[in-house]
Amino acid sequence: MKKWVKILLVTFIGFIIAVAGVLGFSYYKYWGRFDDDKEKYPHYIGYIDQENAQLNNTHELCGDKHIAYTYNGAAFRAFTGTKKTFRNNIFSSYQNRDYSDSGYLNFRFLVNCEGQAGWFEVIKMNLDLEETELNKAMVDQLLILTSNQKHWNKLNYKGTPLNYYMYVSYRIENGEITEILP
Amino acid sequence: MSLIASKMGKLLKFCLNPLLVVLGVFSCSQATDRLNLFEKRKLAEEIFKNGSHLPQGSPKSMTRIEEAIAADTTYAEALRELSVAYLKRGMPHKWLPQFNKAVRHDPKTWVPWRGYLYLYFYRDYKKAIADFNASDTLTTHIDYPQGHSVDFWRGIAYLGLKDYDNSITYWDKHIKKETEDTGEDWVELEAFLYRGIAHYESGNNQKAMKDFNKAIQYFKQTADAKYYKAKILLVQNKKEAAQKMINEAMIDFNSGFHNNYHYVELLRQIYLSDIEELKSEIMR
Repeated sequence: MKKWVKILLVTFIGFIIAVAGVLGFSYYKYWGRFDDDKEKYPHYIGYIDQENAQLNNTHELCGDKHIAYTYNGAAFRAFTGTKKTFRNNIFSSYQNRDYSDSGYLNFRFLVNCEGQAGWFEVIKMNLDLEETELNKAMVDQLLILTSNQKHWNKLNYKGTPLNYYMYVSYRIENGEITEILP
Repeated sequence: MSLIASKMGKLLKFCLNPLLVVLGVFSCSQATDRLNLFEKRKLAEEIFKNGSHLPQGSPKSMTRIEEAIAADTTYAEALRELSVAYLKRGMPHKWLPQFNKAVRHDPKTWVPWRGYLYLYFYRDYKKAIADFNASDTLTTHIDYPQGHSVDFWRGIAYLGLKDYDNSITYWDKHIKKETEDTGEDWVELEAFLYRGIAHYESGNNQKAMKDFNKAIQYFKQTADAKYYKAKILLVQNKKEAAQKMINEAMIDFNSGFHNNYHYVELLRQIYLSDIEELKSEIMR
């Protein structure tokens, strides 16, 4: 092998090792060196356990099943039309059938790339944000209304269809919805 | 100082040594027992800040915050940070008990902050006001959670309750103080807007108009102030001026100059459909 080829080869290998070293060090410094307590935190906060969620067998997640907007939900992007449209639709459909409960009812769920909502986790709370039971018929009615496909947008990122995370919170006083959040 | 830093550096490395963690030879909590309060806080801050780039709510981030808290169980900043992902992801039953731990150790900072969160994320106006009121006695100064005074937040909270007298009283107090401190042109747009809305909803169109004009004077582009101004002009039967104003409101809205927030819908937030409906009404 000619000398210049050897020099070039050694330089190239050295360069590769240096780049790998820098990348490895960066990975370790910014990610690898941090522990994660798998027992206490097996998933990110807000992860929805699809196996145990309600309405988990009605639709399919698309593509690689990756979930977008897990940071704080898809929020205003998710509503067909606007949040105002959603609120008007809920208020015009919801019926207080002699419910007297007060509290917050939170639905955390996924919407697939077809705009179909499913995989619902339901959190029932009193007005002090403590978990409690709420009237089952009221919860069921709001679950049916919230999961209606007409409310949810099909979202994509640069043309790639997305499955996404969303949550809706109802503040209820004496069976009446007083606020829809977020 | 350098001796303490060196001691803590060694302890930190020791605590985070993977081999020791795996073998369970020595726990970090046992190690931190040797430190005094100042050293514990320094160590906790170091652990906390070293991992501040980790994605919020990720297992690594949550574990890192737990480690900081293990080093100093009174470190309110870390106790609070552990709650934030629950807040943002719609899990208030887990957010509040954790946030309250921060309140317990640093009420001066976190009581007014909790008030702001009750107000924005849960629309619990009464609990929010209770926390803002508590902050009046916790500190001798006016607190500014999330960059605005507690009087600013009380102005919004009382508007939420439709208690217009109290809302206007707090907006007056807030605007007066900010004007004295920095000049009227530094007062937030929202202060004029919300005081204007409080006047408008309580039937005082004259005072409302003054506030909407102030907002427009200082901020030029504000769909909300122009929308409400157009409403008043319509009531005053000044249709041509109302039409001009609502057209401007639409331009501002479409340019992104309207009251909104990424995490939650704001009180009295307007939508393009509100502007379109008012425009149709004016054109009738």
